[in-house]
Amino acid sequence: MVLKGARFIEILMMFGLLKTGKEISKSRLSFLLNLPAILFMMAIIAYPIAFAIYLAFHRVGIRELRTGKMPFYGLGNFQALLQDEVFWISIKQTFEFSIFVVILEVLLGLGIALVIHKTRGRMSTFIRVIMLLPWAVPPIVNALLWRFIFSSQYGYLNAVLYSFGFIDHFLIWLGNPKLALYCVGIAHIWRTTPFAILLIHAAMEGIPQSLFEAAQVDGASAWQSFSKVMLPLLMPALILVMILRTTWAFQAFDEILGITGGGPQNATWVAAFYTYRYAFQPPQDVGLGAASSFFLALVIGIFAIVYIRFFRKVQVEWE
Amino acid sequence: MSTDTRKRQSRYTRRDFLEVVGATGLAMGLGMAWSPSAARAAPVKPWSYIPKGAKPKKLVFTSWEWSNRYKRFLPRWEKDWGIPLVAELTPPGPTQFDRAYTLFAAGDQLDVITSLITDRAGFLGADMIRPIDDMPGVEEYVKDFHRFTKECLVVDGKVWGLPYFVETWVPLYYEDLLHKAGFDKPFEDWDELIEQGLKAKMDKVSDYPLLWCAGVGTEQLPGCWFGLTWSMGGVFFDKKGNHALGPGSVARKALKWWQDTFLKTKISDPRSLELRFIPAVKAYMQGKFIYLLIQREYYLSFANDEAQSPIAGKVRAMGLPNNRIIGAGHGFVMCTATANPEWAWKLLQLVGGKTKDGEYSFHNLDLELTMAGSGYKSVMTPENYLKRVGKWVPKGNEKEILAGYENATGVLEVLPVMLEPWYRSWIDALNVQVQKCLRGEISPDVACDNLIKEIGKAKKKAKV
Repeated sequence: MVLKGARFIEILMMFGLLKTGKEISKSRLSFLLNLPAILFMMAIIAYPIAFAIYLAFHRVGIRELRTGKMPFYGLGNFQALLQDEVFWISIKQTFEFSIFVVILEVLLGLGIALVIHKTRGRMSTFIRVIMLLPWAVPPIVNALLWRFIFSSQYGYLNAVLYSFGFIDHFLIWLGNPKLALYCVGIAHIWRTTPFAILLIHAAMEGIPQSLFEAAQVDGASAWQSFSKVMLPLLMPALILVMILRTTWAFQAFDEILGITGGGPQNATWVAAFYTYRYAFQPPQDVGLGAASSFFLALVIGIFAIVYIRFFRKVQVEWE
Repeated sequence: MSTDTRKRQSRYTRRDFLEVVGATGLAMGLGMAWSPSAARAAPVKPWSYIPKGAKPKKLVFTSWEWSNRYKRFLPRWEKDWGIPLVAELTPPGPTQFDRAYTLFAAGDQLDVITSLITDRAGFLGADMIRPIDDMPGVEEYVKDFHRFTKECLVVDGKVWGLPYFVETWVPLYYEDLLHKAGFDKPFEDWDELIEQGLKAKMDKVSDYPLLWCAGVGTEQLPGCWFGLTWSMGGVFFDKKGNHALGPGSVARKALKWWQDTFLKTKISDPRSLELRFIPAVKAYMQGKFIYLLIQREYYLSFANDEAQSPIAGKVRAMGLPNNRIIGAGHGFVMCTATANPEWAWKLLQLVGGKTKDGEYSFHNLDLELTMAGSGYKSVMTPENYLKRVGKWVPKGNEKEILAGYENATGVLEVLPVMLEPWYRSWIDALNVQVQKCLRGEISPDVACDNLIKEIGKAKKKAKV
């Protein structure tokens, strides 16, 4: 194929990447056409990642960032990270948080999607819109909202429980190390469940009605229709929701910062919060923060691979 | 020349000559004294002189806004000196420090920042701030520094800034509830506080007579323990940096006493462990607690504000047993990232010292708007203090507050390691251990043993 005229082609020729009058292979052409996008992605994604890796192997604080002189520290940051018990507490709590959040979200998402799926009419459209609203709330605003709800002094939750006579004094939700992480989890679930509802509901809408009718003709009960017809067909969507939500739950930060600030004690420190606390709060050890985020990315990566393989296996078994 | 003339000339004697010379000299002297050049030669005060160097294009200032004090005051800078001022203002709290660190790390210009004593170690560790001993006239300000302001701002012979505000770490009490519990006056020793609390609880005057400002932070939870320990006669570290947390220490005794109020006598509200300064005073304003410990005296401006407090006018500040109170002096400091130290010094004086007219304008305004005490003796006179904060302070209480300022000991005396680079990491550990202790998960001895170990870990983290 001979290309003539376009400005982009002229630029390519200027740099000797393309010569006039010569045929160009399809693979070369696709590479050249993708080049601007690749360069753009390199600048906004690859460079920061590469710089974070660089920081992880150097001794970097606020002073070093200012001066640009960052002494090489080898594996020192990783060594400090692995020796820090707070880091391991954070990793453990990240898993606890993610498992709690993802399981509840998938169950809630599935349940609510089913209800919406079965409901038709104007009311159903209105409910669908309302359901999506939490997804539009910025995470930090959501955090402030729930901090108020859980407040042990004047929180709505206590007020409601008290007025119905379930409690005789206001309870400490966020100040209780055993409850705080789950309270933050609930706030997180409230905001992100619409995403699960949306995906699962879309998958439900795609299942042909004829399959349910056939099952009914064969004498299947409602539960059998759900478990033997709908659920297997929903599996790809459910797996997608689980993978995406697990990855996002691993990165949960805003609600933690806004609701508990990591407390009480270290009860709500998760991996992303650990990175923030060490890198952006005193002692501003940016090198350690970079090492922890690098480590977290590694953990998420490995976990995602195992997770996907596991669910593929599950999916095949269902099918 | 005729003979007559010579005769007339001879009439001028040596005396006449000297008179003429003297008069001319005087006239010349007076003339010089009134000339503009003479005016420049006269001694000029540091707040009003004009630096000789070129004016910078702008100056950058960071702090947190409170009661619109900067919005009202900072336009004065450009009016007085004609240099644009970029004010990076944040809501109250640590975000101001984050802003300052970010600007500094990014290589931006930063001239004057606020620095709390409890957070100064971070600035020092990053080489963000510089002493101001070389600035003209700084010694004049130091002479007027309050005693414990000096302890906090003049360290190792170097002056690190001008006063931002001072505070005393003291309890507040709700007079009506105290009387209702059958007491005429607040506690004078720690045992008496237990007695008062128990009686108030038994008589159902209050479920929890004591509310603590003991949320996680650099000042809140740690400050309560520091205040208790200091009042009971102890310190946390000696001047050489050795800890005083071992078995039998006052710090352990104080922690045990404190834990008992939560777990044994149950006179302290467990929700205290969630409350930082403003939430604590807002909870206290509900009127259900007798004491709010250990707050800052200027929170009377909330508790006694009729617009927001149901118990306004009934809350008083008091001292601590043994007359041992901790005071902290915070500063406006000059940043090493300043574009022009000479002009940064002018800006530093505008907020931390005197304005062009020779008045402590910002300190007076701040006292009036926020009740934050000034670090200058000449501002904290009883007349000036009462005039500006009288609306929040019940009659006669101003004497106790001012006595608190007089008697308080600078926090660096109790914690000489506060400016060490590892201090902040240790405080993080302290928050965790003390909260565990007050919730009954560990004993005070275990908490203190752990905190001794945490000193080494904190030093390692800070790469000391």
